[in-house]
Amino acid sequence: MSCDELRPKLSWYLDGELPQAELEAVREHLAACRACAAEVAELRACDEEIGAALEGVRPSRGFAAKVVAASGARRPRWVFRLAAAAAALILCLAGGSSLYVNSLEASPLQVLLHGTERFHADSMGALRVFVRNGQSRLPIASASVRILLAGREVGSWRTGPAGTIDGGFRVPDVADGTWPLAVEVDSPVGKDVIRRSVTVTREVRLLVTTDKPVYQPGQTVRLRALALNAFTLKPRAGDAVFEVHDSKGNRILREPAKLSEFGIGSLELPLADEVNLGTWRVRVDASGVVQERAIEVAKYALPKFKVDLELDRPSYRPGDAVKGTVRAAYFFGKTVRGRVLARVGAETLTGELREDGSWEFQAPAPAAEGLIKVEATVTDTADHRETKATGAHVSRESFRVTLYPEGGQIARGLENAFYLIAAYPDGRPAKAEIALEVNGAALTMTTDELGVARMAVKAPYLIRLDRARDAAGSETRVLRDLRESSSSTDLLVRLDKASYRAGETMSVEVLSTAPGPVYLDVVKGGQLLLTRVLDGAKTEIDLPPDLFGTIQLLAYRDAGAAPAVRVAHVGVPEGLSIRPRAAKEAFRPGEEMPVEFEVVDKDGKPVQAALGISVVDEALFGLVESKIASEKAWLSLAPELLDTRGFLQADPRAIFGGPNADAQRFVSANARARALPRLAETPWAARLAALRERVRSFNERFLTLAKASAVIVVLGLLVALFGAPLLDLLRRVRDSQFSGMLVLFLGVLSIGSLLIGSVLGFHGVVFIFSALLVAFLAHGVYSTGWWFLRGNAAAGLGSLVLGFAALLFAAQFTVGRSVGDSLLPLDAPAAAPEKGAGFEARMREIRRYRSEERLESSPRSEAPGPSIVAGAPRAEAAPVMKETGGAREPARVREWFPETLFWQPQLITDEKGRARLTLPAADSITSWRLMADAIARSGALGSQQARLRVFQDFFVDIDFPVALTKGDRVHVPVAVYNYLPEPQSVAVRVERQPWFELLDGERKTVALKAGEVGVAYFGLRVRESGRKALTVHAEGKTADAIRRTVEVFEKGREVPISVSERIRGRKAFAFEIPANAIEGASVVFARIAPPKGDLLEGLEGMVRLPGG
Amino acid sequence: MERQAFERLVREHQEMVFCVAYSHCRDRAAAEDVAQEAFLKAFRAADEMKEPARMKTWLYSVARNGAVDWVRRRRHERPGGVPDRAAEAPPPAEERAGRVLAVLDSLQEDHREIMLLRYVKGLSYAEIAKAAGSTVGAVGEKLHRIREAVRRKLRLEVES
Repeated sequence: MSCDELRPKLSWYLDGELPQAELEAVREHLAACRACAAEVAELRACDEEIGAALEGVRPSRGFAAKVVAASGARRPRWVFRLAAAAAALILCLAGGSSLYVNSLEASPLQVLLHGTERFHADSMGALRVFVRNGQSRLPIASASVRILLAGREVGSWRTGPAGTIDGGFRVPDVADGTWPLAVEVDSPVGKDVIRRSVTVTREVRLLVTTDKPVYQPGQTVRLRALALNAFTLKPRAGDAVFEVHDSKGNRILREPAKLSEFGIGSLELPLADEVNLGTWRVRVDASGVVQERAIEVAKYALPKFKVDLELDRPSYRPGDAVKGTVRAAYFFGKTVRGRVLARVGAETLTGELREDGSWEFQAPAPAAEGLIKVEATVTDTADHRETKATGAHVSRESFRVTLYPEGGQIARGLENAFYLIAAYPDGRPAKAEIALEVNGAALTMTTDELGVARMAVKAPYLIRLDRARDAAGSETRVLRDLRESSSSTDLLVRLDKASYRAGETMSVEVLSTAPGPVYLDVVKGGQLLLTRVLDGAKTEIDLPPDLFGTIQLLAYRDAGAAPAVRVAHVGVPEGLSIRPRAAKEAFRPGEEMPVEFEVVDKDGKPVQAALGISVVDEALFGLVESKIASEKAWLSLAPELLDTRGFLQADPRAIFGGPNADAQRFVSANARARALPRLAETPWAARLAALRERVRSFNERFLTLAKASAVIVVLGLLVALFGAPLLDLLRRVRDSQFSGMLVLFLGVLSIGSLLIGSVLGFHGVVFIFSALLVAFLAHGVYSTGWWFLRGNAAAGLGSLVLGFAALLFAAQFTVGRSVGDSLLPLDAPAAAPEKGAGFEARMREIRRYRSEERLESSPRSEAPGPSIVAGAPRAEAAPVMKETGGAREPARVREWFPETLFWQPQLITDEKGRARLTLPAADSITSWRLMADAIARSGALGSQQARLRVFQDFFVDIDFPVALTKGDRVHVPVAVYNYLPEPQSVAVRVERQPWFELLDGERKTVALKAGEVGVAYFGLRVRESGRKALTVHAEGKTADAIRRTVEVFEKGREVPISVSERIRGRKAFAFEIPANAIEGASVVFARIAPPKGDLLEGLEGMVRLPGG
Repeated sequence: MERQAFERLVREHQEMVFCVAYSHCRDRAAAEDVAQEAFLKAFRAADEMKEPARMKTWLYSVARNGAVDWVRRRRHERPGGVPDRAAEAPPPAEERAGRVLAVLDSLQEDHREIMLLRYVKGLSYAEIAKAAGSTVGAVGEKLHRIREAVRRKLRLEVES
């Protein structure tokens, strides 16, 4: 080993690290080389030096323990971690809740609900729902709307571009009363539920009928009440109370009755022989709805034939020729032969009836204006006399011209249609040439046959009548303007017709001066039925089958604005047809008359129905011109239009053909319409204010709490760090790696959110930034707690204080700024007009519905009219008595002469709509008027009249006066009717009776030609009073016999004696009958009334009597 | 940092950290203060320390900074007045020890560590290599250089 090899190994050698082999080599070399040995010695000395130098450089014993103690690491640290985490959590919750509350916004959704408070159960209904942004007032499309009535969902819709829903619903069939209505709206900007209560009713419409309008004492009054739901016209079962008051106001009867499932109740009241004559009142009360009907109770004799008197015109000018026609016919159908006496004012004319029973006359009208009476008296060949009178106007006044704006209203800035109606005072239309000045320009028009001319004038207008001249040359310069000045609109509703039938399509045109959607509501009887939004000018409304009556169309542009109105009439849907079929064309007295009924609906399908049938002597209607109003019209017309008959006709111009009063009434009906009331709306402003208040109070409390905790924390920290030199603190904060970053970050965040938030008002961005801020802050607090734990409290203090400040700032910043003031256009996309899938689908549905309807309606055949089918053999020919010597069979005595032959208030047909009756023909030779009305369960109505003729070609009749008086000497005419095809000589014989003595022979002979009516007089002296019968036999080629009764009065003075007392159990009354009383003429009537009722009844009577 | 871990750290490095502090302060009490402060700093910063392996180095530098600060403060407190203890003529043994410490202070980090492990702790080459993350060969080389440096220093002193 050389010296150079050795040197690097010296350290190893000195430290004893050389392996054994090398160690030997080194030792050998050192022993040999002195230089190397010296170097080793030097290094050893150096080692010793180092060892000596480092010997004392050691920390004292216990140094390590001291350091560990000073570090404070001995405390259990999880408590502090937990505390820090809790602090962070609390801060998070506090910050989060503050941000959440401050971010709350009142939804701008506003729902306006317009409509009617009252709904009719089980009918069509609708509500006008406006969904809009309450701030911008822009409509919200595609919002879902659900309507719940009485807890049931009646429908759900989506709003269209105008923010409304189109559509009606079915009002649930719930009991009458107050029910909750809820409208739930779910829109892109929020949800809302509007609640309020509405009334559901079933209004009753009552129809009270009697078998006839006039009664004699002793006859039976038959009453029938038909109760229908006023809105749907469906029959209404229930209870009713019938009351009958006599002419002096005494209540004769009060009786409850059940209304059947067809809404029918009935009552029969037999009249006593002694009753107060005059006008009686029948009252029926069903569910509080009272209907009254007047009936006459009188003593009368039925006429033998009917006289008609017709004038060519209802009014005449002085000196005009009054032309008239008189017609007379027996009730059994044959014409009357005889004399006529006519009076026209002061003029008297006479003549003979022609073969066909008619006679024409002509007389000049008087010179004076006023009403003239025209009267015709016909005396037949049997000396029976009947009179008919009528009246006519005599007026010098020429025709009138009336200006009538369509719909009754004037629409500003639009071409309004005007009707010029020229009519005579009696309402007859005048064909006239009318010269006008319209807005300064001259215009000449000619009215048509209906007296109507139409022109279009832009409002405002000035129309002046220059002159109007009719065909006869009379002129007028007066123009009546029917405009309602108070009602002018900027919308005009125009219909294609004024009157529709249910099931038709109504074309509605709304003319407007401004663009934008127009709302169209259909209202009937105070109930909203349909709602529409019109984008264009025109819409078509399919009138559903249960929409009928007088409907109003309201058009308006703003919710709650005064609407433009148009009234239209929808006729009652095709009702029931009744087809009565009698077995024969004519029956013989005493024969059975089988009658079959078949009830079919408008499509000709049989339907089960309840029939009300009365069969009354036609002669009675000759006695009283009964006004039988059309039931259908009565049921479907609103009260204000009840008398407007012209309105029912299909041609709108016909409305004006009638008396002008109709048009005036029509105008008033229009003017009366008002905007739909607002039912409810979202209390948007109040809701907003409430939310603001809530947030404000939250922030107030939050800030108080935060300030208090901030003070506590700061104070605590100050106390904890009391005494620490400020410089040291700052230096340590500077040294901390994290606090600086955090502070910077928080600062940037706060400033950033402040800038963005305040400049843009972007609440959402503020919210996001603030949420980030809170998250970092929470982390900061956690870290601060950690630092604090490890003794570097000062480092955390800065971030903690800054964090608190930032949080307070964030909370302060958002207060009062976020709520409701958001500029974020949340609803902007929704407001954009869009025709969504729903809209298109609905349009398709409508189109499909229409095409289906067309298909359905085309093959509908005309229902055949009712008829009475004649039986195969004509049974008119009476069995001819064979004169083959021997004993002739005595003719049956005809003695049953009822006025009402048959009365059946409710005859229910079978499922196939069929019913069968067999009526016994009375002994009257007359025509019976069979009146049938039908009601089906669906509410469909129908009525029909038919005639049942009872006839034989040879008969006699006694022509009694109304009454006789004892001791009278009278010649009673006995008419002999010969309708045999050959002349005959008739022997007429009176049966002797004890109540009279004959003044001449009991047998008379009358010679009659074919078709002739003759008369035989029998002189009688009346010997007894009371109801007496006279029997007459007639024998010619055939035989007939008749027995009629007459009332014979006593000849004397009536002395009434009345006693009234309270009775209990037995009670004896004593009457003193005057000594000179006529024998057998005294009558006692007793009337017993219940204790409480009698006073009332008496009072009623007193109040009603003239003079109390 | 856990208590046990910290205690281990202190026991492992107390001599060397003290040495580093002492080499500047030349005052046992002050060196102990500085060393303690360095350990406490390490304790606080332990969790944020990205490379625990560098703890040693960090500890030494903190200790040296602390010691330098201490010396500087002392000088400000007694500017030229009371003479520095080091400035007084020390006994020869102490003077030679000071020279050794000066060499120690001037050494590179790894050399100093190896030197302390060898002379203060008396570890074998294998132990030193394991503690310092080195090889036995490198340890021997480094010790050789350290010895040369000390010898040169002491020889220079003698010559001067």
